[in-house]
Amino acid sequence: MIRFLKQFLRRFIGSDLEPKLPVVVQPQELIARFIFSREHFAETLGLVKAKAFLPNKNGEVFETSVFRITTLSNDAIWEIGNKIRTEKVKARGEVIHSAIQRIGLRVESAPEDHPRHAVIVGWSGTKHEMLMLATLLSKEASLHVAHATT
Amino acid sequence: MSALALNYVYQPFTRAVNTGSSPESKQIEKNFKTIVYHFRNRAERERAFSELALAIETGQKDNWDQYGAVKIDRRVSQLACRFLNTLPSAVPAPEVGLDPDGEISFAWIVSRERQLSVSLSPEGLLSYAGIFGNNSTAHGTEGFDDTVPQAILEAVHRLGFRA
Repeated sequence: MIRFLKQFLRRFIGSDLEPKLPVVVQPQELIARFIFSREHFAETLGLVKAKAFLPNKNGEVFETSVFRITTLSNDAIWEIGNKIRTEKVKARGEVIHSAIQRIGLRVESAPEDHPRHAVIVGWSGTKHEMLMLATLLSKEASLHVAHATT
Repeated sequence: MSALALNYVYQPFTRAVNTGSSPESKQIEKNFKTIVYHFRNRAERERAFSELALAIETGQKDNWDQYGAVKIDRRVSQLACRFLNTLPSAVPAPEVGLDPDGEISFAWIVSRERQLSVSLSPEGLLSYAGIFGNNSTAHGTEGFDDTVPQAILEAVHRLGFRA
């Protein structure tokens, strides 16, 4: 996945164009999780489902891939989502970093692939605790659905 | 000349409310409601099984979510089918999907503040987590031995689904 992301991001988004972000993700920063499956959100309920936030195992660490979107326009956010994969992004869930911290997780920048790329870390190893944290993230997140024009 | 306009939706009753007062009329109304409930419930169960089939198909390869997800284990497909079959008829059919670790997920969602997720592992462990209003949560692990654990049934009940 990382290699795939790198190929796309290098081709389409020059990292030189991005303004410098602080290395440490600030509590007031807005974080976005891009969603590529319709099963991961419920438009009628305005809900990003818990499973959209469940982490993947990267080596020994569980992490959820996200992007730091503070200061970006709506179009610029969708642009990032649409360039990280061949398929179009269907929606995004937005959460303030302080809300993520409140439930016991944190966001760390991971700019190797993209200057705005980051990961949600701090997941415990047991599945039911991960489900609980993902459900709490779902409760905190706001849903933004991509429409045909984006 | 006059035109005949036929109603394209079959109306079993000519009135929205049964105005009959006889015991027979009341009994017919009750039977009809039971039939409608069973048909709706059965349709929902079929939807859940279709979602399970799709999840099994999707999870056949590693990295099916392009975020590095694990492929599904054959044992969990069979267990998931049994789990759906053993859900009592009074329990609404869940949404069925896949987790990044290859487990099969069952979700009951009423609203942002009322939702329950259950994941089934190849070893037959059911991990569950739910929120039931603003300050109430529950999570844990239960074994699946062809009966749905009481803790999960209670959690579904706490969501407050309305028929």
